[in-house]
Amino acid sequence: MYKTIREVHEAYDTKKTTPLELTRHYFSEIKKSKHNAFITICEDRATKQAELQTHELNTKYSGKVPRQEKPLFGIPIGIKDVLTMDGVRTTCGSKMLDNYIPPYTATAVEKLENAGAISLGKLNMDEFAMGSSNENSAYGSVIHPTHPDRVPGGSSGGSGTAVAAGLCFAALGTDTGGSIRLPASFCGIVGMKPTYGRISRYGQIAFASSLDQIGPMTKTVEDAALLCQVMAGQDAYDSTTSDAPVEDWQKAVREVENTPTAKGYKIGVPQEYFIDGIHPEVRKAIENTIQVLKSQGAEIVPISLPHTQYAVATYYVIAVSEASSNLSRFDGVRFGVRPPQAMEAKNPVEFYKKVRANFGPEVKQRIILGTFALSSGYFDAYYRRASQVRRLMRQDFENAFKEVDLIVSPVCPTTAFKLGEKSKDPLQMYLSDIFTIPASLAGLPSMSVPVAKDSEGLSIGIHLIAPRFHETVLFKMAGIIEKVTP
Amino acid sequence: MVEVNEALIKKVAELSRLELNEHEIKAYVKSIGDILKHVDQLSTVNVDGVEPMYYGVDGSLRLREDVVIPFPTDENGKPKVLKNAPEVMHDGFKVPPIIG
Repeated sequence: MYKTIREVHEAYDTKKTTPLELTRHYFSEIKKSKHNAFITICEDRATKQAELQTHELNTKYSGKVPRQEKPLFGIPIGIKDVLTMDGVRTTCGSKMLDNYIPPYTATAVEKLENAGAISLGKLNMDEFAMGSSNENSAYGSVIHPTHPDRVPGGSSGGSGTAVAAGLCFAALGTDTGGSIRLPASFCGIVGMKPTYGRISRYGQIAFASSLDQIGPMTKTVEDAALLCQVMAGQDAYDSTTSDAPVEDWQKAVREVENTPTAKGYKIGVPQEYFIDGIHPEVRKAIENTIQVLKSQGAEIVPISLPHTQYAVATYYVIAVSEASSNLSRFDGVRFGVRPPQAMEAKNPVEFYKKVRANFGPEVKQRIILGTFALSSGYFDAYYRRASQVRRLMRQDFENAFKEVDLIVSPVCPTTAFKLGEKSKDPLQMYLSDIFTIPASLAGLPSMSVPVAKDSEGLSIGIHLIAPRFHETVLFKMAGIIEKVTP
Repeated sequence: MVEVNEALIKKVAELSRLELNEHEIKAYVKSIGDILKHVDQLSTVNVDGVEPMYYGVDGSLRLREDVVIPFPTDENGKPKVLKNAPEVMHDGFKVPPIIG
């Protein structure tokens, strides 16, 4: 199979395959697959688009892929089911939206499709993106791509499995506290969360609005860079998007991959991220990679991020508070499933309760926690205090980035755990995100790049964190790591 | 430190417009109690004079022109947004009577 988008385009140029043939190949793989990675497939829509592109390639484009105009020409992708597509069912992994057909398309998806990408369908996920294992989906757990007794990570578990198992060429995920990076690490692919404000959240069903970001999940760093640069930029429909210049990150990755050297880079290694709870094989893999970077000329600098131990507590207060507010819109009035018993309600409160019985147990738990943290008498002790600690965590990073260009750590203390292993203990599950949460709270671009496998063959990812809007250095270092690790 | 008991869970569930059964209430007393115990470590951090970080972006958000952008309509000229309504009446969202 083709490794990069560039290789697919060369195959189109030389008529080795066509967009239609590649699209049909993926639908055939999706139908054979037992991973439960997709919730909805859009076979007619995608096939029509692929037919048109195949025709245009031979006519309008004279047999040559229009790379400038359509950098993702004929690339079949999967879309996490948290992103809206006009006319395509979007469930967000929830029974609440089982019948929801959005009347509009998310900006990120629209940009990819305008660049020529073909959307194959909507990928499974934890309900409302709340989870670290993809066991919270109302449409069933997603299975790990290579180890059927394991979780793929969450919440973008369908995206992780689909890319790793060859069910689509690339995928979109979303990341609030690690939901792109964790499944990327568990599934052995590249996953990137851009700076908060890089990519429009318009059409992303909100979980925690001050943290949510869309990002690419791909087989290679180069493709992640390309997808990211296509999606990035200011959007009138999302006032938090930035006008920071978008660079040619694909080109930057190709340059470093041609001459990989880490010379001149100062890489920070935070002591607080190498705690006792890390699995020894994960620790070894990350330490080995740091040694490789050192041998490639990087300067390794021990650093401290002193508020790291408070990350999970801070994150869960803030994320659930925002979620409890965002999810109040699911009231059964304008969209979503309204169960018949709701129509017999005697008053609005009873009506809402009957409708909101459609939420799954983890979503209810987070709404209750968030409502508590925002409620009168508790706001200062929980939400306000957590937001103050968040500021301190951001300052930790700002201080560290005075000394270093990048920070590296493990993505997760473990490799993919077993289905059911942590689902009864929410706190243990939340601690899976301990290394990815701080960058989310600080709004920093960060990335998971596969570097090794453990003795059971499970993937281990290294976690890279860069200063705000410094995606270039992030992609370059990711490209170097991809090139110099086995 | 707050004590998480059935009364608290019931009260917050009511505020959240969620209906819980006895089994769920018991389960949440345990799991939310565990989570809040972990969260209580935030009380040990010195946050004197620290401005809370409530937003993901710095400074104020930009404003845009206040212009009317027509909402998408279907082939019959009806607003597409109504297509998802559980019940529609006269191009509006239909809800059960709320004034007795």
